[in-house]
Amino acid sequence: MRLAPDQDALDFAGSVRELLADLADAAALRVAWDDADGRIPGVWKRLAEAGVLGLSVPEEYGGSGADLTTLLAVLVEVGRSALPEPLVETIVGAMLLAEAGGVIAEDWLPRVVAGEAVIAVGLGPGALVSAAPWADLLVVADHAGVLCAMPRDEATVTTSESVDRGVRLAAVDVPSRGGSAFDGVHLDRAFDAGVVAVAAQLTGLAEAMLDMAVRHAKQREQFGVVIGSFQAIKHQLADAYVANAFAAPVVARASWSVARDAPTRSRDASHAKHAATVAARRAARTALQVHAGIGYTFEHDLHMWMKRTWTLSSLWGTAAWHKERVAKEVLG
Amino acid sequence: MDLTEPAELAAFRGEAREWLRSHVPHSPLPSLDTAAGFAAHREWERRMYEARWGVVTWPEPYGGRGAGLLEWLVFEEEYWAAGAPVRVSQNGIFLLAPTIFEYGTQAQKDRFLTPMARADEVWAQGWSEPGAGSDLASLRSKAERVDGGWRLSGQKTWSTRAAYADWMFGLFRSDPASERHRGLTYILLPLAADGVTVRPIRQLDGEPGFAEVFFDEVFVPDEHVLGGVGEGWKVAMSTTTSERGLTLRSPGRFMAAADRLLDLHAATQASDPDAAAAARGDVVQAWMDADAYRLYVLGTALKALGGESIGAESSANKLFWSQLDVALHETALALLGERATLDADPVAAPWLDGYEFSLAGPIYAGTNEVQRNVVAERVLGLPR
Repeated sequence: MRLAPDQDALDFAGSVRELLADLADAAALRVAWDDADGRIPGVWKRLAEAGVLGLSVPEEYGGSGADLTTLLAVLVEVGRSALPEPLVETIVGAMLLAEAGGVIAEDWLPRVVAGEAVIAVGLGPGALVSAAPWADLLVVADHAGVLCAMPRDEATVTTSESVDRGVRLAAVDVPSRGGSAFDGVHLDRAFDAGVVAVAAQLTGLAEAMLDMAVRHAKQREQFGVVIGSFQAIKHQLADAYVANAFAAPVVARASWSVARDAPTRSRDASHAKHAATVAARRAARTALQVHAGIGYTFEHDLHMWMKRTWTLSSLWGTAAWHKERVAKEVLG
Repeated sequence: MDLTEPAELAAFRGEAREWLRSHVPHSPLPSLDTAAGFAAHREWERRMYEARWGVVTWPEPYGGRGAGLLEWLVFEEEYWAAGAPVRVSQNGIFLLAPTIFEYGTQAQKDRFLTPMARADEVWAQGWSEPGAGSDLASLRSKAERVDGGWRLSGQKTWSTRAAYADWMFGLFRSDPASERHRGLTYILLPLAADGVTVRPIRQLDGEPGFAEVFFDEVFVPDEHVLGGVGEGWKVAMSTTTSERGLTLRSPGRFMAAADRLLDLHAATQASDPDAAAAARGDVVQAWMDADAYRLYVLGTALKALGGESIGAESSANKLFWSQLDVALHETALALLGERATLDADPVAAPWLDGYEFSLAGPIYAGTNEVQRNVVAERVLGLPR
């Protein structure tokens, strides 16, 4: 038995971590945040070259056919870097296309693998479609509530500016198209995959914010000593660490449940999103409190990680929504 | 990743479940903290030992099954799910025995392990003193060198099970010039020895679950020293760290409690739907936390089996389960409403009892404040 990604997946995630540290450090994030487009030039292509975008795409379309347990470790790294790229959306979109098969899969999946296409998907309880303004292909419900796929210019995309400048959220309006490319496709399973993918990012974000706070607590001196020597600081950080340490195996288990389509898949995915959200929000609050004044500025990097935590908390179902989803399964 | 339970493990689970189903007493045993209850719990331990279910992790020659960590976790899940009694021998079989296996002489293994496993000899622990709680290294009970052994004097307190136990393991200062962690020796002694006085202390629930123990020139022979003279701190820490710390409270106990909480919620839904609705979020939170605890321990156990070291995980672990246990029981009491304080009510009493016990969790085995320091310093690397 193993409750962690395989060693190969961990090694691969390690290489992604290095790639992101190189191409998408805090300075690059700042540039993207200030840029109208909001993305880091060149990163998407590099992720494709590294094999990240093809990870979950079946081999017949040029990908490597890995499941969510393999992606998990990469998604933690993407969270750690607060990367402003539409990775989860594209992964879930590609899952839907691969399951649908046919012309649409043949047309789009090789382009996803090559880093030439971004997909945005509208699944789950929310009305906003993340990454829609960046997308080449939209997978969203039409007026009749039927899930359809179309190039972005065939829909009306109305962007709403987010406090997190590293995402693009939009309402997408699609007239009824009289049929779906996704008949018989397991939409719930794809939604759960997205939920777990976001949960994995949240655990990475929490780790990054705790690292920042610990670094700060080891350097910042008050009353003649580093503040990290105070129990009032230590105990907050210990509690935030524990919350995230206990969320991580819940997220890992959920990736297995999605990959194997276990009977508990939805419950496990929702448990993961709830635990990871609560832990990441706690890490964000703790990191802010430990940084104190400097953390409450736009100049310090922490706010970009905090705001990514807020958006990922809200998207793909809030913690409360997921908790109730677990409650329905457990309590009826 | 692979979360499929291997066939051998599933078979082990089935065997344990089968035995427990046909042997666990139908009605709860009387309280462990009464003479009659203590005797009844000893008898239960003896039956388990004779069926080789008492000490599954021990090697076969000592009555165990040589069970690994995963089997132990499975056994505990089945044990608590079956509603089996509290383990009267737990200080001995879970805390002392691993130390005897690691540091004991062959003569000590032969002398102590079998009576411990049969519960013919129940062990109390002697760590805390009136002046040494969280700061255990400040302990002052002393062991003076005499011909053929040691002479003990001083006092231990909060000594769990000591009111009815037969033996005690504890730390004594054997080098009078020493300070802190140095110069301590790990000593085993019979509580019936001359010069030992045990004064039971009533715990929060009114029962004598622990005691203070006084030593007035108590003679202990050399063969009752465990590990080297002056090495006591290192020997004692081996019971509180590593995988033993990880397994201080098995997930099975909380999973069983969470399942009972779901039953209580379902019953409350019929009798008091408003109370059930109000507690819904807390109930599902307790259930999720018990599930998370199971996964965390499983993940850590698998890491340990893979050869990774797992030091400070046991501190994170203790913080999590102790808080989970309190929250779970508070939720149960909320569901019970005004019945929650009726300690003769057959439904409420076990929950009230469990709540009182849960409140000890953040205190014993190193207070949660000390555990937070350990996490902050050893995991996060903050300065002492």
